[in-house]
Amino acid sequence: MTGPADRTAALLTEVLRTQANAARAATDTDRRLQEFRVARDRGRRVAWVAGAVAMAGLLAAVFAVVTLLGVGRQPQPTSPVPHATVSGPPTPAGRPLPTALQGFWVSVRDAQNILQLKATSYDFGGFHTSGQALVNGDQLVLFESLQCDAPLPDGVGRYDWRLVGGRLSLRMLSDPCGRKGNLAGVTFVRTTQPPGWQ
Amino acid sequence: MGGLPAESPGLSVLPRDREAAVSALYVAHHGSLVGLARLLVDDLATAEDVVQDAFAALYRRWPFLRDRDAAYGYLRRSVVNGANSHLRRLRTFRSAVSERIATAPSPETNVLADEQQAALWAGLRALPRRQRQVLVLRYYLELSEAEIATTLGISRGSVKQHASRGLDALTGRMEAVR
Repeated sequence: MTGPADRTAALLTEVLRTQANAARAATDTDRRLQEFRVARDRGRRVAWVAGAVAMAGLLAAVFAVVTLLGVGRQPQPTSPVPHATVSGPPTPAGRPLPTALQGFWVSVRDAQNILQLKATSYDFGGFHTSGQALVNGDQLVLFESLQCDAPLPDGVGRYDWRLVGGRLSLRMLSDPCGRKGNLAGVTFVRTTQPPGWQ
Repeated sequence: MGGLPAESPGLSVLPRDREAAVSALYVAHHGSLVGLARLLVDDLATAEDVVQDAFAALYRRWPFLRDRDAAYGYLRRSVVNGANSHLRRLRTFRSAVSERIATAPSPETNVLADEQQAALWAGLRALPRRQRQVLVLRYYLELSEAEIATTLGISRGSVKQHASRGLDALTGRMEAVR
């Protein structure tokens, strides 16, 4: 015997599949893939130029410092040569997380709010890495989040961390990303590895 | 087969090279993800853009992915989040014209067989964003409460609440049509 809600659910499943299949049929994967590749290649060129400019600037700065200190008596380079392997903004300063911070933590107020901290990454999802993590003194620095569409130099979250009596307390200093909802002002205690987490 | 399996179908081994791997994922999943996105936003063009952005983000962050076998999971979550961001950006606009947007028939409405299905689709589009997301993840992707909670970054209790309210609203609408 099915109730009205069951009938709605069954019909909803059917409607969703019909609509999704219509969208699948209407989209042109080949054309969109071509557009994706064009945009990707353009992005790569921009990254290469940005990297080259950054490297040229860095070399110029090093050269200026060496000259000012009077250390460099060797022949001066006539022009800095950009190097293709350098690209992208620098990673925030910091070191891998100490072992005392690494592991699984659960919020004392919300058993669903589980945080995994690893040496250089963190995770809320249990099946992949949510982003990168470093420690800089009292600051826990989180960046390159998969959920926060803000690649470096944006998307960096900074939290003051305190580990007292086995309780990890996080105080937000700044974070433009949604993860602050899980972290800001939250106290965690250690927990065991939840099922399905890696 | 309409729904998406929870994990990446059809690609047992991804190429190691980033270009080849993302392209392979694109060919395998673009259509399915557009289908998913279409259920979360209001038109096909936006759905395609949301999926495009998801692939661009995946490509950009490929070097950071520890578990590349979970790439499909990243994409799926990225599409849900992208649709969410899109709807959030439009919230102000939609609050002014929501009546018209919610009740206007979409171009795809004519693929629905009968009045009840069309009414249900219109009802789904009129639901609050969170209720719509939860119902799509539940009844299209067939995710569990825990998986929906993880995907949307909300508690399991909230998932239950949104699902129950959304389904009640749709059921009420269906009974009005009968």
